[in-house]
Amino acid sequence: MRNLLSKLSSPGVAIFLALVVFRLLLAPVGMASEEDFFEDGWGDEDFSVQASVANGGMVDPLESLNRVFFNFNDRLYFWVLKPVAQGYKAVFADEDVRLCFSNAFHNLSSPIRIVNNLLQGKIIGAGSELASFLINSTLGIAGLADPAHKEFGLLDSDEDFGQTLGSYGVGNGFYICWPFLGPSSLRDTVGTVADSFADPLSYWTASGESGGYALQGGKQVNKISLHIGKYERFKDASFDPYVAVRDAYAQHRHSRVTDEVDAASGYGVSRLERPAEEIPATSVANAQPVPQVVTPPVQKSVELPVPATVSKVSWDAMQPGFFVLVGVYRDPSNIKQQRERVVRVGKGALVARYQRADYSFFGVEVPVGADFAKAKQMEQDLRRAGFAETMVVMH
Amino acid sequence: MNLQRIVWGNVAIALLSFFFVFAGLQTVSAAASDPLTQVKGSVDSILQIVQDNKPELQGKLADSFRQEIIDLVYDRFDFRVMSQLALARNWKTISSQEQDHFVFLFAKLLENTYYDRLNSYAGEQVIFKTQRIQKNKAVVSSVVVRNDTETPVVYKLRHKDNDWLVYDVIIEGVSLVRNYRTQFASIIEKEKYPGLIKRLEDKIAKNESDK
Repeated sequence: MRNLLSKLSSPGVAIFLALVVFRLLLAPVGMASEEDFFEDGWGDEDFSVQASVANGGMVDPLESLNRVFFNFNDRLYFWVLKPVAQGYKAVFADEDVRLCFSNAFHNLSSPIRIVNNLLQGKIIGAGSELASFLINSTLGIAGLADPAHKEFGLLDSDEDFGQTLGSYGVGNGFYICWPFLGPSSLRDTVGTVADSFADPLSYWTASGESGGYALQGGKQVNKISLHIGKYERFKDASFDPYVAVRDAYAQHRHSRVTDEVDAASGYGVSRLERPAEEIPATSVANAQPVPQVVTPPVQKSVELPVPATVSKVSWDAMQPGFFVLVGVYRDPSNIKQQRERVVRVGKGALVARYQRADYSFFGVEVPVGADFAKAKQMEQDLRRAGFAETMVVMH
Repeated sequence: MNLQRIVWGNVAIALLSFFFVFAGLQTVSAAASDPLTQVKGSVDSILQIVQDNKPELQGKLADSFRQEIIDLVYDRFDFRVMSQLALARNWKTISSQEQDHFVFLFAKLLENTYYDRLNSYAGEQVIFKTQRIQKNKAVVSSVVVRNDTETPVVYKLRHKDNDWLVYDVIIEGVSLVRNYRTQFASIIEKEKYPGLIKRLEDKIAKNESDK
C-alpha cells in the first residue's frame, strides 16, 4: 500500500491535476455533443451515397500484419481461451457468482473512470463513479455486489483515456490489432497504457507478485466465460470477420467518444445530467402540454445549465414566469443559425429551446422573479436586433 | 402599467392555449402511429410468440412459427432502404433488376442470420426508452437487459405510408448497416459487384444447408 502511495505522489499527479484544471476551463466548449447527435448525428448523411468510408473512419496501413494477429487471436480464442473459460464456467456454474467477480473487477478499475471523467470535465460522472466506488467497496463487500447501481440508482459513466484523448480532438491514428489484446488504435493504445497507471490491479501485476498475474488472468477468463458465443455469432453474421471487427471497433469507440449512445438511451449518463426534454416516449406522445400541471421530480432537479448555448429544457419544469418567444421551427437547424445572435441579446439569460413532436420553439427565458416590464425590455432588445416576430408569453 | 400587464397576460394565455390545443391535437392523432409504439409493437409480438412457444425458454422454436415471425419482421423493416445504404455509392451503378435481386438476397441473409438468434433467447427484457422525431425520420432507443447487463439498442426509422419502418439497428454504438457497408465496399473493391453477389448466395446456401 505504501508502495502504491509513493508511486502516486509522483510528477504524474501534478500533470494530471494540470490537465483537470485545463479541462475544466474548456468544459463549456464540450457541451454541444448531445445536441449535435440530435441535429446532425442521424441526419441526411445516411442517405448520401458518397458517405461510404471504406474503413469505417479508421485507416489501416498495417492491414497485412494486423490480419496475421487477428487470425492468431481468433485461434487463441477457439483453441485456448474458450476451452479454458468453459472449464472455468463448469467450476463456477452459477452465473451469479461469475457476475459478482465481474462486479469486483469493475469496481477495482473505478479509478480509471473517475480520473477520465474529471479529465473530460464530467463532474457528475466522476462523482457518480466515486460514489459507486465508495458504496460498493463497503456495503457491496469489496465490490462483489453492486448496491450503488441497484439500490442507490447511480449510473455508470464509463470513460477511459482513449476517450479522453478523443474528446480533446485526438483522432484514432490508425488501426492496430494487437496479439492477445485484440483491436485497438494508436490513440487507444496510448490510452490503455496511461490507464494502467490508474488501475490498482496493474500495480500489483507490475510488482511481480504471482497474485497479480493470477488476478489479471482470472479477470479475462471470467469475462470470456460470461460472453461465450458473442464473438461466434458476430463472426457468423459477417463476410470478412477482420473487416467487420475493425469497423465495429471504430464505430463503437466513436460512439463512446461522442457519447452518442448515452445521448440516445440515457445509458451511462447520470440522471442529473440527462436533459429534461428526455421524458419517456409514452408521456411525450400523450403529453398535455398545458403549463404547470404535474411536474415529475426528475425534471425539477434539472438546473438550468450554461446560458451560452440554446438549452433544451422542459416547458412544464419551468418556474412560472415570462418567456420571449423568438420563433417556431420545424427544422432545428434554423435555431442553430440564430442562436448566437439571440444569446448576445439575451445577455446571460437562458436561451431555451422546447421540443415538441415535430417542431420546436425557442426564445429567451426572462429570469425568474422579473416583472413584465423586464420581459418587454427583453422583447424590445430582440426587436432592435432584428427579430420581428417576437411575443411575450407566460408559463 | 398594471392593466397592460393583465391584458398582455390574458392575450398570451389565449394564444398559448390555442397553440397547445392545436399541438395537443397533433400529438393525439400521431400517437397511434408514433415510431416507438410501432417498433415496440413488433418486438413485443415476436417475443410473445417465442415466450409462448418455447417451454422454459429451452430448445428450439418450432418451424411452424417461422413464417409468422418473418412476416412481422418484413412488415417493420425496410430492406430496400437498408440495401441502398449498405451498397452506398454502388447502388446507383447497378440496374433496377439487380437492385431488386440484391434486396432479396440481403433480406434473406439477415432473416437467416438473425432468426436463429431467437433460439438463444433466455428471457432478456427489452425496455423501450425514448423516441425522437425529426421530419420523416426517427430514432427510438431501447435497452436489452440480461442479468443487470444493459445493452443499448437504437432503431433508426423512416416514415412511409403511415408506417414507421426500421432502416438501421445500432447495437452498442455499432450500426448494422454501416458494418455491412464497410464489408461490402471492401469486397467490391477486390472482387467487383458479381463477386459480392456470389458471396451473398454462398452464405445463404450455407445457412439453408445448416438448418
